[in-house]
Amino acid sequence: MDLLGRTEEIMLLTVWRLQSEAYGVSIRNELNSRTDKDWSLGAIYAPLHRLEQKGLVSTRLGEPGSKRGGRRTVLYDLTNKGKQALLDLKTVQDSLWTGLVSLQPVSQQV
Amino acid sequence: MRQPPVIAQWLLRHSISPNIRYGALGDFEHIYSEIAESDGPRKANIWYWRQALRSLPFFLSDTLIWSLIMLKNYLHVAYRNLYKNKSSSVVNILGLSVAVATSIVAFVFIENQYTMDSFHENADNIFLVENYIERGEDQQLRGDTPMPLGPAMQAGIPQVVRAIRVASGTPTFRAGNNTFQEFIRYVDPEFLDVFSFDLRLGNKSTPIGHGDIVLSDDLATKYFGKQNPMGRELDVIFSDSETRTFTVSAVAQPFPHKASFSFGALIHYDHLSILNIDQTDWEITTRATFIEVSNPTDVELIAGQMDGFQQQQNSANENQPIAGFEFANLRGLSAASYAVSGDISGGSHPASGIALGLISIFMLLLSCINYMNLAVATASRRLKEIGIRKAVGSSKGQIISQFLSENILMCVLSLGVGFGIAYFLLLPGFNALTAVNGGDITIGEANTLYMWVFLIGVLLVTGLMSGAYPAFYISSFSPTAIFRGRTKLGGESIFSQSLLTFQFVIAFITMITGVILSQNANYQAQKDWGYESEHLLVLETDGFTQFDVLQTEISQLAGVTQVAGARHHFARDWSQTSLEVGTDKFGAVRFDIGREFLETYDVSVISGDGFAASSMTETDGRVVVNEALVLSRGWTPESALGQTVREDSVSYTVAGVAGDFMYTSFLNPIEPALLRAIPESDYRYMTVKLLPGTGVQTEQAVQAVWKRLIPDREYTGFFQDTAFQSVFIENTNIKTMFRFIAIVALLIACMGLYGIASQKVARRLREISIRKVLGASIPHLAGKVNRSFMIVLIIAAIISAPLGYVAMDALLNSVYADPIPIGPSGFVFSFALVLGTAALTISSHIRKFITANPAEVLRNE
Repeated sequence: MDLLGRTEEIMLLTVWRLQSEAYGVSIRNELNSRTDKDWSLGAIYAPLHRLEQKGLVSTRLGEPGSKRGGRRTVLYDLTNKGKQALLDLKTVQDSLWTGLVSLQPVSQQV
Repeated sequence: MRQPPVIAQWLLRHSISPNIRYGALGDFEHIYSEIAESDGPRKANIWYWRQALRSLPFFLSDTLIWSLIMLKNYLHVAYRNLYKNKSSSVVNILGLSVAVATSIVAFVFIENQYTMDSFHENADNIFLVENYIERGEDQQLRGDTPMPLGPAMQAGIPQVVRAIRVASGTPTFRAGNNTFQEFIRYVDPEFLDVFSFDLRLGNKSTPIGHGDIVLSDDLATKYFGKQNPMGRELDVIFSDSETRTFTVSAVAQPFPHKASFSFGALIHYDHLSILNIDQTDWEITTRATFIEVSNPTDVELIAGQMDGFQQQQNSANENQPIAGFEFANLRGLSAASYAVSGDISGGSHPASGIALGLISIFMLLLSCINYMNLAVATASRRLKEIGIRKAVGSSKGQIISQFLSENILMCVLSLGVGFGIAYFLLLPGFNALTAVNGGDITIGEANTLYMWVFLIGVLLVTGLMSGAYPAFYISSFSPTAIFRGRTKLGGESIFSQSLLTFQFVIAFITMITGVILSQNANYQAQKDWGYESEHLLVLETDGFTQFDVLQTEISQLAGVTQVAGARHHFARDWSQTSLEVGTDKFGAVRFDIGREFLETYDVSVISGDGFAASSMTETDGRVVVNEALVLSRGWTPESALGQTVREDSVSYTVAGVAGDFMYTSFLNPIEPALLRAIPESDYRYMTVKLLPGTGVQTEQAVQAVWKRLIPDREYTGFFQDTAFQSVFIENTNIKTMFRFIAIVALLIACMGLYGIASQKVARRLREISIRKVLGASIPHLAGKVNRSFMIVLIIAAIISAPLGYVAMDALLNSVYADPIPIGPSGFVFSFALVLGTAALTISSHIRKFITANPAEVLRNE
């Protein structure tokens, strides 16, 4: 089983969260607000392109927007394969987390 | 609406992979306009730039990965296409491989010619001293220089670090009871230190002492086998009374192939005195004088200090004064050697390198054109593929990339196959053909850097030349035109017709070259030598006194009709000199011969009593001259008789005129020659005339007499008719080589013709079938289909005839002194051969119409 990378996981989850409204701008806004970092579009599109080649996301064209210089939006959806990949990753993560001793950072003795 | 910054946008557009470009650029602009609305255009521009620059690394690495994946995909499709069109792929790869192989051989040959002797570490600082000899009407650039010049330069010119003189000789070495004549060099003691001949044993920096001998690897093995030769003794017989014993002081490694001069053995220069040669005599020349300098530019300073030496030589040798000196760097010695008489390195004429280079360029052109024509022609089958790909959004660039990668795959394959052909087939063949002039070139010894630059250059040039046109042409069709069937391809276009014409022009010219060179080789071989060269056995008896004893014994043998002596020999030895008639001075050659010589050789005498040998003595000053001398003076054979010819201070009277006789290789012109009689004591060459039909037994008898009388000396006999054997072998080899090249060029051109004709027939099969149904005859159809090819061939023939004539005229005249006059027969034969092969190629398609069943063909409609 091929496990997703961290960036890929973040991208897929964000696309899923945005459902039918996932495109560059919305993904970036979502990520900016959730991670408290300023994401560049390049850092978003490069993994999206890779995920598309792997067949984990698919694209479809949306409505043309006046702000986009007449271009249509390119919307991203999870494919079944993408959904399965997220589920596989979650199973592994869950099994890794279950039954662990409490993970509280030990307070430093001065 | 404001536009984002143009430059930043351009940067993005060109770094984002095409698959995500549309969406990404839209998103950039989306955010840009939002910021512009809320915070003003300035902020928006800053954001755009910042965002673009931050995104760039991501986009670039993404694009790179993507294009690698695409390339893999392209190559995969390319492989499938090559595999699918097997016949045209084989035609292309085979043709291109042979062309690449030829160009590799040409490259290695030319590279070899221009990097000769560069293995000498100090090559930049070593120069050969050359001199111009004043011959009255012209000056001759010579590589041999007065013997005292070297030491005099070293003593008198501060910039000359060392001067190394080289002379050569062929004394006899004794090994047990056997004797062998060996090629040795007399050199100044520091020879090994100046040049970089690696030693297997011994030390380079130890000067060669008077008792020392340095052996080549070959000679060390010949005389000492596997034993250690160091310190062993070797007897060298210089003449009857002079045998010296030397101690082996060093043994050289086998010589690099790129050594233009080497040695069998080296001994001290002073030993020339054994041959009664006075090395302080300015009148005697040594094979070569090399000087070592500390800085190559010092040569100019040295050139300014040569006047004294020139005067010294001129007063010693008034007849052949030096007009000036030249300094030739060691690296360029071999390449320039064709223009220098009597030089040490001996390289081939640059014409052969130029010819080979041109031929390989022709071959590459031929096969690239084949590829172009076939690619355009086979593209007709792929038009739908191209149309669909364009319709679903493939960019022009992507289709170009697809075609170029097919082409690059093919070129890489051909380069590999071509390298193999060159390495395993062509180079060994080429070396075998050029073995007579020391041809021994290897890929391994070529400079690695040059080799790589060359191979990559060939790959790029052939790739672009053959691939660019089809790729751009095919990718430019519009899908609608393709699907409406409006696109016409290949075969019919003026462009591809003219390419085919060009190919056949090349095929014709190479064929003409091959045929005329063959004719010339035969012409040279059948040329009259001006004397009877058969049944003459020549013995070289240099430095031995038993000439008369040998002569007496040999002339008594059965089967020997005549014996003549001479100091010189027609082919091996003569004196280069200058003669004077009245106030005119001109370059000439002189032969010192015995009284019976002219009769023995049966030299044709045009006027005078050249044959009355008994009337010609050593002292009466009567001489025979050749026709070339008579012509150069504007005399007639009759008016020449009684004329006075002076050589230096000696005056001669012309007593006879002989027809021109062959004494030099067929490449050089026959110079004015003077034949004079000398006393028997100066004889070196003995010519024995044998009774026809008894050659073998008589030669054995002569050999037996030799062994009995001079056992210390290796038998040197050879037949006069083999004297120019190397020239004839070389001519035959040139003939073989060019025949091979002409056939390969013809085959490549015919492959192209075959490809185009098969495409054409395939395209017109329906039309032909309909015509057949309507009752057209086969000859009529064949004529219809082949008419355009016939026109192409005829135009090619018309263009190539004058070009071939001019090229051959220039080539033959630059190499041969007396080339065959170019007549129509060579052209007629070449045209017949090429046209015949082309007709055969095309006619293989005629079978297709004969066998094609119209019902089968038309059923598909």
